[in-house]
Amino acid sequence: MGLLAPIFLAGILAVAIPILVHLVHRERKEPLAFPSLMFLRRVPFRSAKRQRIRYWLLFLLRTAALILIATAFARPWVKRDAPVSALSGSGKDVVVLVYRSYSMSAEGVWARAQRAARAAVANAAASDRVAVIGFGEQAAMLARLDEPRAQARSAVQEIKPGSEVTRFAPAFKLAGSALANARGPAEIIVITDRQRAGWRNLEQVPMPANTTVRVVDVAASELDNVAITDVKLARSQFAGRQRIVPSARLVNRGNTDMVVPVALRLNDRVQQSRQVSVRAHATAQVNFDAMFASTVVGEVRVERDDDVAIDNSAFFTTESGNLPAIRIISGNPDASFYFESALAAGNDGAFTVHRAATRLNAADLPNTDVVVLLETPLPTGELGRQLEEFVRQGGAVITASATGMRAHPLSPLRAAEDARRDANPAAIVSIDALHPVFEPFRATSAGQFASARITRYQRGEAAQGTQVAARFDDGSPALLEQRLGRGRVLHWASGFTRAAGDLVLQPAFVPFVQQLVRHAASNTGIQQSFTVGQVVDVNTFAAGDRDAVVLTPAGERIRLAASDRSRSLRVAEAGIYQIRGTGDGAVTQTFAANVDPAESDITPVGAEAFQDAITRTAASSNIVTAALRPQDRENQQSLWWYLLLIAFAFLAVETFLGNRISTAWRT
Amino acid sequence: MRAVPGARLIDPAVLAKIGNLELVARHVVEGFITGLHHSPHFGMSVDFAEHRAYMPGDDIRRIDWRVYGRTDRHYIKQFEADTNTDFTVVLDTSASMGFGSRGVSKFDYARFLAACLVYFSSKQRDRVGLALFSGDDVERIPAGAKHLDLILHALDRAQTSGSGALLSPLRKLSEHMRRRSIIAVISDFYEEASAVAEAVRQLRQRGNDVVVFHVLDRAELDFPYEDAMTILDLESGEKLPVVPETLKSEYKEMVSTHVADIGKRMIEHGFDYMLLDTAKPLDQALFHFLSTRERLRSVR
Repeated sequence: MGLLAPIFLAGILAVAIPILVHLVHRERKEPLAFPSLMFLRRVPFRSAKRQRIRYWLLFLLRTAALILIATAFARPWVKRDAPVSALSGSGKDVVVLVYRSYSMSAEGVWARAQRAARAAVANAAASDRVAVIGFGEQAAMLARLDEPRAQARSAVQEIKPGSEVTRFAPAFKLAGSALANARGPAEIIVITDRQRAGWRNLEQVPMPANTTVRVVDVAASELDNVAITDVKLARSQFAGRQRIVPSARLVNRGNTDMVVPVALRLNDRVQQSRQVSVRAHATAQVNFDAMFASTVVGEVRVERDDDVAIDNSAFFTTESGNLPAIRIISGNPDASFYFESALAAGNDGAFTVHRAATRLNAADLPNTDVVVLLETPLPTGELGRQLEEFVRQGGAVITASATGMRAHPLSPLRAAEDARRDANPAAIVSIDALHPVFEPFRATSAGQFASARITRYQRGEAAQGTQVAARFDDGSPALLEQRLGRGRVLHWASGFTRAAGDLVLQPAFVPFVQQLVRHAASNTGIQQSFTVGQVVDVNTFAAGDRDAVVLTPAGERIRLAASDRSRSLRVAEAGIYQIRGTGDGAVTQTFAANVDPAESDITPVGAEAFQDAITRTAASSNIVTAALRPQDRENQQSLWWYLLLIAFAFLAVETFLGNRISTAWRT
Repeated sequence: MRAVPGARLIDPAVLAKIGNLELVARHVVEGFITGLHHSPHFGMSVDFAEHRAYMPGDDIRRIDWRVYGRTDRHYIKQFEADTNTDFTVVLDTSASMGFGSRGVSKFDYARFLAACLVYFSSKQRDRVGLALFSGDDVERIPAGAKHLDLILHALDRAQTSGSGALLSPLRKLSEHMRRRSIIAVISDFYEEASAVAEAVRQLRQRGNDVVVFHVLDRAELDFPYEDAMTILDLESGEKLPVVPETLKSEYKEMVSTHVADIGKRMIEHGFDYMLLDTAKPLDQALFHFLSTRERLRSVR
C-alpha cells in the first residue's frame, strides 16, 4: 500500500484527543450541592491516579474516525499486479487480438490459437469487459467491450483463419479505438504465431494510457509447407489462336528437401503433372507443356498434404481472342520513348503494342483497344467524334501532356493552364490507393511516387463526374479518369518525358505505366489475377450501366447495382470469381484470386524480439507496459472516498451514543 | 404494592407543576379515594358508624336516602374513620431537604405528601395540625378541625434552611402535644440511626401513634456521578472534593446500611416506617398511611 500525501498521517496524532477525553477526569467546575457529607466523609480517601477508559465503544468510534479521516487525506492506494479496484467495483478492459491470416491455418497452430483465445476470455474477471478482434490484412471487431461476455465467447468459438495476409497496424488501431473510453487499466492480448512477414509496414499506433500488451505465442516449432508462389502464362499468337505456356514457381518453407507432385488442372481436370524437386528453404520452377486454350479455369496444385494447405494452389483463368491492342500516338519520338520502354519491360505478351505513330487514323480504331496520346492533343471534328464513339463502345484513351491541352469533351481536365516549376518542382501526393492503377502500390502508399519531381504539368480542375486518382502538391489533379459509356479516358496531367520531370526515372514508373495500360485495357476482357485482399473494379467485368452479380469461390452471390457509385469488390478468398452482368447480352467474366505468397513464409520473429517490437510500438504510442503510476492507481481506486464515508458513519453513531449517555447523566 | 387505580395521576414531577397546594392535595386524595372505591383489591374498610344531620358542604354522596325516605330529612352517614382524631404532620425543613435531582426536591415531595395527608385526614373529620422544624426552631399549628387552610398555607410558604438535627425540635414538639394523636414524621434523617430513633421515640408519650416517612432522592441512594467534583454540604456549607468512581460503591453501601438501620429501629420501637423515593408516585405513601390508620382505628 502506498500514500500520495503521507504528511496528512500526522492527523492521526489527533487520536490523542479522545484518549485524553476518556482518560482524564472531567472535573465539574461548580460544586455540587448535596444534602450531607455524612457518609462521604466516612469513605476512606483513595488516590484516583489510576485512570481508566470509560465508554469503550465511544472511545473506539472516535479514535477510528480520526484515523480514517487522517488516512483518507493521505490518499492511500493499493499496489496490485492486475490493477483492478475491488472497492470501486469496476474491472479492466481486455481486448483479445486473434490472428486469422492463412498462416494460422497451419497444422496445430489454429487449435492452439483458439484455446488461447478461449482461455483469455474465460480468465477475465467477472467485472472485466472483453472485446475480441479478428485480424489479417484488415481488422474486424467480433465482440465489443460493451457487449455481454457471451458475445466474446461466441466470437472466439466461431472465428476461423482466412486467406488474408497479416498486418498489425489495423488491429492495434481498432483496439486503440475500442479502448479510447476505457474505464481504467486495459490489456491487449495478442494471439499470434509471430510471423515475420506481419511486421512489414508496422505503423505506430497511439494507444490509451495504462494499457498493457501481452503476447500469446502459438507458433509451431517446425512446419512442413511447400507453396505455389506464382503462375505465369506466356502468351503468344499461333495460327490465329492463342498459345499459352504455363509455368509455376514453388517454395519449400520446411527444413527438409522435397520431391513433390505438381499438377496442372484445367476446368478441374488434371491435364499435366510433374514431379518437382525443391530443396529446403529454396524455390523451384515447374514448366508445363504449351496448350491452345479457350476459356478455361486453371489451377496449379501441389498434390500433397502439408501443414498449410491453402497455399498449395494457384488459380488462373484464360480467355480466347486477341490480345488487347495498344496504339500509341506521339507527337515526337521523345514523347513515347519512356512510355514504350516501360510497357515493354516485363510484358508477358499481355497486349499487342502498335508502335507510335504521329497521328491517329480513324481506320485504326476498330483494331484498337487502347489509344495512347502522348504530347498529342485530342482530335476534334469528325475524328474527335469517332474517338468519342470509340470510347463509348468500350474503348479506352490515355492522354499525357505537360503542355498545350485544349479544352475537349473527352478531356477530364478543365481550365487547364501550363505550369512550370523548375525551381520548385511539384511532387505527387494524395494518391488514391483504392484506384486500380495504384493498387500494386497500396502496401507502400505514396512513398514510391513522392520522390518524383515534376517540372511541367497542366494545372486545372477535374471535370464533373471525373475521378481523381492522384494530385500534385498544389492540389491540382495529376491522374484523372472519366467514364464514358462502356469505356474510359485516363489523363495524366504531365508528360512521360524527361522534360516534364524525373518520374520516368523512378522505379515506380514502369509498374505505373503497365498498370495504367492494363487498367485502361481491362474492358477488353483480359482476365486478371488478383491477390486476396485486393480490390477489383467490377465495372471492368460488367457494363457500368447494368447490375452485376458476383459469385465467389465459396458460392456466395453478391449483387452490385448499377447505381452504386463505386462498384468495387474486395477479394476475400482464393479461387475463381465469376462476374455476370444482367440484362440481354450479358456475359460471365471470371478472374482468379490467390493468397499472397508472402504469407506462406511462416518464419517467426524471435519471441523476445516480438515482445520488444510490440513494446516499442506500445512505448512510442504511449502504451504503459510497466506498472501504473501511483497517482493513476490512486485515481482509479479512490480509496479516500470510502474511508471518509466510513469515518462519517462512525461519527454519526458516536454522536447518537454520546447524546444518549449525556441524557442518562442528566437524569 | 399494586398501584391503586386512579392513583397514577400523582407523579410528583407533574404535581410540581401545579402551583396550588390545596389543588394538589385535593386532586391526589380524591383521585386516590375514587380509586380506592373502585379497586377490587381494596382491603380497607370504611365502616358506617352513625348518622348526623346534613350540613352544607358535606359530600352529597354520603346522604343516606333511606333515612330521607323515612324522615324527609337529610342525614349523612358517618364512618368509623370520621371519629375525631388529632393528626399532626411533623415536617423536616432543614437545608438537606432542599436537594433534588429530578426537578422535584425532597421538600417539595414531602410538602405534597404532607398536604395530601392533612387533606385526607381533614376529610375524615380529623383535627389536623402541622409542625415544621429545622434545627431548634419549630413552627407549629396545633391540631384543629378548621386548620386545613392554615396548614396548606404554611406548607406553601415554608422554606428549607438550617440543620436537620431531630432530638431538640421533636422534644419541644412532644411537650406541646396534650392529646393523643397520630403523628406523621417526614424527614430525610441525616443523623445516626440511634439518634433518629431516640428523637422519634420522644413523640410516643401520651400514647401518640407515629408513622415515619423517610424521604430520599434517588441520587442520594445511587450516587450516579462520574466526574470529579467538589461536593457542598447543604446544611453545613462544608465542601469536600471527591472522585465519585472511587467511592461510589462504598457510599451506596453506607446509605443502604443506614436506611436499613433506621427502619429496623423504627420497627423495634413500634413505629411504622416507610422509605420514600422522590421518583415514586405518592399513592404508595398514601396507601401505607391508610393501612396504618385503619389498623390504628381498629385497635382503638
